[in-house]
Amino acid sequence: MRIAPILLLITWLLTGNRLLAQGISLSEKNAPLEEVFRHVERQSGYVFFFDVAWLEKAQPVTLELRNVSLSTALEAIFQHQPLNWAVAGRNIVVGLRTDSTTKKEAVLKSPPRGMYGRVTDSLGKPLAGASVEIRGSRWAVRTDEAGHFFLPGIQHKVPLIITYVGYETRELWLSDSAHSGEEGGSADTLIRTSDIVLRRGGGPLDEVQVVAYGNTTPRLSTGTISTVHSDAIAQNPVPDILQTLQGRMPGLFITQETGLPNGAFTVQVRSFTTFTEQQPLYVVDGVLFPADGPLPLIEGTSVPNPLRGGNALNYLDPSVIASVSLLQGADATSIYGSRGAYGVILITTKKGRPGKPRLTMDYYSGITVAGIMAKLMNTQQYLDLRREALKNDNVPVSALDLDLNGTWDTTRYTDWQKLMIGHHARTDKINLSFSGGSEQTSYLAGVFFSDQQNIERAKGSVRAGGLHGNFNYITRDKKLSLIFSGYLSTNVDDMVPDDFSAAGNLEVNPAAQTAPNAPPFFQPDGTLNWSAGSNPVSSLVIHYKNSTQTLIASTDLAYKPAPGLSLNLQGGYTLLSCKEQRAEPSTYFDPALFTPSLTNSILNSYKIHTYTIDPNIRYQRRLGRIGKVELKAGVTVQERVEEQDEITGRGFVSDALLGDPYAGDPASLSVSRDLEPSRYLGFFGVFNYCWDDKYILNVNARRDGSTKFGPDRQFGNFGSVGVAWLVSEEPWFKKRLPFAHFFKIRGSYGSIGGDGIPNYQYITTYTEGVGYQGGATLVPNQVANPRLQWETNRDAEIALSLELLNGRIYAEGTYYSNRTSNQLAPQNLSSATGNTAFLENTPALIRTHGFEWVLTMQNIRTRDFSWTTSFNISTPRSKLVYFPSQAANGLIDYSSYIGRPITGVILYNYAGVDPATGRYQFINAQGVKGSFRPFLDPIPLGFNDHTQFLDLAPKYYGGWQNSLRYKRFTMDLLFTFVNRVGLTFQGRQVSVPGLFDNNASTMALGRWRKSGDRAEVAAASEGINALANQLNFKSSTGAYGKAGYARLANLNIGYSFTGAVLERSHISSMRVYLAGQNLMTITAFKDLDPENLGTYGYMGPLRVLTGGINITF
Amino acid sequence: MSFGCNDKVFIHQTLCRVRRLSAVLLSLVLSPLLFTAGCKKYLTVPPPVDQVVGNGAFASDSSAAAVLNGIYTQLLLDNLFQGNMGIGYDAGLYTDELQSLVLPSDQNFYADALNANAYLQLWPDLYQEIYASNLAIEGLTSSSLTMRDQLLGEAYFLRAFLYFYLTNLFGPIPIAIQSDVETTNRLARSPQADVYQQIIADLKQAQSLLDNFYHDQDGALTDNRGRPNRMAATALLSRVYLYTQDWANADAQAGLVIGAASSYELVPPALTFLTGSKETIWGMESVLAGVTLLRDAQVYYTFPGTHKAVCLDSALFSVFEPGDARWTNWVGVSHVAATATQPATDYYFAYKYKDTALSPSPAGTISLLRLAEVYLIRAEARAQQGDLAGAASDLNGIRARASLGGTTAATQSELLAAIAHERQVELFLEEGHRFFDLRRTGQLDAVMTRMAPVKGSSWSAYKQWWPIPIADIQADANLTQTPGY
Repeated sequence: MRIAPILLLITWLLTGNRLLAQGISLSEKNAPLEEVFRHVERQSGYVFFFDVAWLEKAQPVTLELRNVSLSTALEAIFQHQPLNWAVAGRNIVVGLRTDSTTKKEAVLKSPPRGMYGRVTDSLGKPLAGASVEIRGSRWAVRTDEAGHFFLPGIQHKVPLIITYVGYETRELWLSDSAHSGEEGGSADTLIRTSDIVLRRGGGPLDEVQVVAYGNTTPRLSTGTISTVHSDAIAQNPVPDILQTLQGRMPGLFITQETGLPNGAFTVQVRSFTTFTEQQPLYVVDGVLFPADGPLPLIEGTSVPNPLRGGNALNYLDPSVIASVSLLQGADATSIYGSRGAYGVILITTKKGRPGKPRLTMDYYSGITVAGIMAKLMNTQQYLDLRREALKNDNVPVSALDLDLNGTWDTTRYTDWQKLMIGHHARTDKINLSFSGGSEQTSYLAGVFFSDQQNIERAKGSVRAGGLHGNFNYITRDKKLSLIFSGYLSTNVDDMVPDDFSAAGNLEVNPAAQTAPNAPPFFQPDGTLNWSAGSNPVSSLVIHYKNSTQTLIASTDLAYKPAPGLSLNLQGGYTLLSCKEQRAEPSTYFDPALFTPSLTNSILNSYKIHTYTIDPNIRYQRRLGRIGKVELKAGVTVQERVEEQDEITGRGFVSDALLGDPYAGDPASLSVSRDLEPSRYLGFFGVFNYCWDDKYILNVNARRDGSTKFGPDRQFGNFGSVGVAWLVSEEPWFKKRLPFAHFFKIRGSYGSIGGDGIPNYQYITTYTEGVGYQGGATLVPNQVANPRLQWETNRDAEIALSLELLNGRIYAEGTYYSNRTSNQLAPQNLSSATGNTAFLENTPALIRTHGFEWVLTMQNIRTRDFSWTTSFNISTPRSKLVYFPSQAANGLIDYSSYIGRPITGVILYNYAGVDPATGRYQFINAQGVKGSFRPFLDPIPLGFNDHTQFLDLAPKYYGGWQNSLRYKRFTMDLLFTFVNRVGLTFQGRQVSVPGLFDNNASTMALGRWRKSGDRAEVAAASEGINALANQLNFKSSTGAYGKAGYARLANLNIGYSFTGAVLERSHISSMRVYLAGQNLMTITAFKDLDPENLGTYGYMGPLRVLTGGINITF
Repeated sequence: MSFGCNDKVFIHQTLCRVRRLSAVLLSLVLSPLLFTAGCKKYLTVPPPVDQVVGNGAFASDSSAAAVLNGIYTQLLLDNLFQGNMGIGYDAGLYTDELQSLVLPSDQNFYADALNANAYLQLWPDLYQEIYASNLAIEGLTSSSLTMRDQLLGEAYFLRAFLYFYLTNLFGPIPIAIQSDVETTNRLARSPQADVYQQIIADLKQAQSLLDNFYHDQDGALTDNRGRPNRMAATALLSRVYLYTQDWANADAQAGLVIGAASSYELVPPALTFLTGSKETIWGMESVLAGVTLLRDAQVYYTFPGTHKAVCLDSALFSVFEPGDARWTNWVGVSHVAATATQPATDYYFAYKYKDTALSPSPAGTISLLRLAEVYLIRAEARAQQGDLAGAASDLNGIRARASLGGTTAATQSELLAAIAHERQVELFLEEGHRFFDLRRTGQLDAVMTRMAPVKGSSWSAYKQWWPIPIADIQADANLTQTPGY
């Protein structure tokens, strides 16, 4: 192999002469050769390369030349020298003349001594035109098209600086990269360095992106792939990777459903393409990770579980993650087949890298506080409101009005929100990792521990700890390689399973909305105060503990028996194993009503395991001189099993026994068990052809089988075609638009299957019910549809990417259009069928489309100061195009209308507060305006009066990131923004303001008070009046408001130390930083965080402020 | 890597190589496809551990019996025949049996103001059990279980029983007699005559499959009358013939039940609804350990001096004759003391079932078919056929049991009126008898027009049938709303 670069060099040398037609004029008299070289360099722009030692042997030069070609000049200069010369690129290489033959022959027989090497990117792709410079000298060469460079005459250690646009500059000593002993045979003539790998730098074009079964770069990909790297992830002091991705990737909309740690997230890739919400596929190091839905946690009985099922990614520590890639569209996702129909999120963990052993430590510590809280009334405002409500309703203060009749102290004021959730809680995190290795073997081992305390007035925290490791081995001949990675963590959550924030929803206990003059929740001794007959924070005494272990193990084995051919086996296993206990002790209940039979204890154990096995073959070779073909074919075998056992005990004689559900009353013990296996089998083939790095064709074909469907319907065939044209590689483009380095047009079209439905939908099943006549019962559980089959996603996209001014500006625009048909959707059934819904492949057609834009600019790039901006925005749209029945309108969920998005709701037409009566008014289907209160007004509103349609999906969302560096200071800011509408605080209330023991937002200060008032909020009222007035309002456009916001999602300010002290302490780098999350929100939305606008109105995302240090030894 | 100079030759060779190689690759990779059996095996996951799959439910006598048990259980859990959303309660509010005192959740029933958006749970609940019966009939018909006949007979009986209530509440209704939802989701309403024909056919099937004895879920003989037998099917058949004015058959079928004198007899009112009563032809028992059946006392009354949201309407309690043992035994009264706003008042409530608190062993079963009704059916059928003496004899049997003297009615119309009155006081608040009787005898409009001002409602003839949920009409394009709604 080592002959190849020499041949290339020779080829080059032979063709070099045509470059010599330069006008050179010299007038030298006994000039040192070095000085003559300098004159030639100045005139020609060519650079000489030589060993200084040789100059001692050189003769002084005397000559007179007028406007001769460079080659003539060189002939003349070297005529009497013991040296010969050759031209390589824009370099003039000087060598020792060993005999008296001509220069050309000399080179052929005995190439110049020196060092040569190759520069590649981290994918091994040669970098042509990289500059290789000897530090401290003026000498530089550029790499050739194969990435080779040659430094003639260099036979000792030299410091090199290697630079390439868009890549990190590397400085290294020649000896650092070890001139390999292998090359010893030619040591007298050549020193060969190993390949010098440049990592991606400022330019995003050549970032390595992990894709299915390999890597790619935005330069050469035909699909839509976005990647976030560990450096960006590390800026966020938060425990869940999904939080760190918010706003960083176009097409990815992440909602944190609750601010409580370990809570749920919803992730939407592009637009809703199906009637049921579908989550993307998560793959960690090639293995399916079960983060695509809620976990089978205990659903609270009296208080719903505020974690809403949590998310498995809460158990994967962000510090072990090297990169996250989002794959969208048919071309990028098709290799995952149906599994990737709703987007793919690939997570790659950190791997060991060759080099001297390095120990890295990162520690941060800080506080978390509640995010946006409602502004509720104080006692004076609340009591005014209540008195006004009674006055408006014309009722006297009754025995039930404890807040007004003197039972409760009317001068007392407690800010319940502040009391219950207004605390600062500590958050700490440390992780250590150790890595190193040689070219053949590298390793990484790390540990982490984090502790996040509860901001609620309660005990409890989420503590997580774990370790991860990685081992890479490659044989000396590079034919066999092995990667093994493992991750093991424990997460212990013993936070109170309740959310005391002002949610204002019946289903959540709005402790914060308790009357501000209500008696204290606690007695002086700290125990619950039951004097009011109930206590909205009694859940504080619930015993709760969730301990989850997570294991991820994966291997990647590759064997390359012949050039270009690679046999691979990837596979792995994940296991989530959880024990969760929730117990309601005697103190949870009002002592006046307590009987031991009320106490209960639930022990829930679940295990989710997945395995993935991916054997595949890849073959890559050149086809023609400038073409390259790659074939991949393989099989994917995958299983996911979810197993759950739940034991519920009731009636405990002592709270001390609550830990053991079996210790309760044996007669009321109940157990349940669930086991849900699902399997997937896929075969795929990929054909990729790249011609001259200019035209790329990528064809995928696959056959998928899923256990979600009945026999004979399990398999479906899918495929995609992707093309890319690197227009900037065309000579005419280069000539006309030299400032545009890179311009690519790509497009793809394909079909992907979808099987996002529960298991066993193709069989009729019976479940055990309550007994009859002392015997067992079986009750029909679900109605079978044995004809269920794959739904079809037809995905098309087209994208342009452009890089200008040496990578200073990078822009990318993507347009996608997806048509999902044969939808797996629950069809509403008439009751006469005995069922309410039936899963069916309906020919319903949903079209989604949208634009995604990315713009990255290096605004300023100087030695001391740089400023980079990256902006992305997505505009998802969806529309129900066709539904197979004229009764379609309002079918599936009564909000699906042909020609409208499926993410909307139908509402009454709100017409403001009636200035005469202070009641909410609506306009019904007949155009009549009125309050239409049920029970109280003669005509109520009916189904047909839902005349308004409101789309709740975001109109657009995105992120704006800025990275600034001044000398050793860095500052990174990430702003996220969303534009949409959502259910307001008042829209979530059960009644208009004025209800007993139900504090209102200060928005209600602007309520209607007297005839003629033009108010936003209805007149204060209580009882049935208040409820009836609110009932229609909740289902009207009045309950929705603009929920758009812009948020400083992340801020990270750091300073890196240098100096002799560090070096003496063997510290290679040290950085201190301040990092904050969710620091500022600009929104017109009141009283609620505009991010998590789900039905429940749980606590908004927390604010986090930390300081940390990062040291590498 | 070096390249040959002759590109054409090179490309040709490469193509050949690629072709060869891709063939090898493809065959390697696709070879599993050839073993599709293996793939299929891999994609065959074990059935769910906590569920029985499809016809597996009919693989054994015990599991098939469990499917039937499931229907009985659901009937009770859905509160179709008990509780404060059951047929008896709703129909009682709708007509002249119950008075609403405060705004209850089913205010719409009392105000005769049902609409398609209201909570109409009876309709889907009844059809849900019809679906379960259809599954049972399909599963059992093709089986050869020991208990096949008994269980199949029960399934036919249940389907008929459920359709009887559906058609009497909603008029013409879709007849779903198979489990395939894609078929049943396209059904239109069938005329009531067709529904009755289906009911009669099912009951005849039940009669032929069941025997005269009571069996338990293992097929063993028992005193427990919790599962229907041939006499239950016969009693229901006589009721259906009465409703379809097939007097002769009503008479004959009722005669069969009354003739089985060793099994059934009228018992004193105090004992009529207790467990073990020989008046019960079919009576369902409590399904939850420790939870009693929710009827009468618990629905209308909890403890002395209180009342619940509804009580008996004066239109009902004023028609009891003096000395009627049913008044003393089946009607309760609660004296509620005077308050600032209201004078002392007596509230009357149904007291046929006397459990007032949760009890692990309730005193009674929910009597869904009982002998007294069969006597009244035969009396009416006889009267309609001109057998006035026979009719009076059957009627007087019921009156005698209530400690009342013989009827004074002499003519056919007098006798029919007397029977109607007797049905009102004998069967009050039992599964809508009053509502159905008023309608089938043509009295509904007259009575309701009289009641409407009292109830603060308005009455129209179309209200004799109840509306169906709007969602059903949207889901099934062939289904129409009840006229008038």
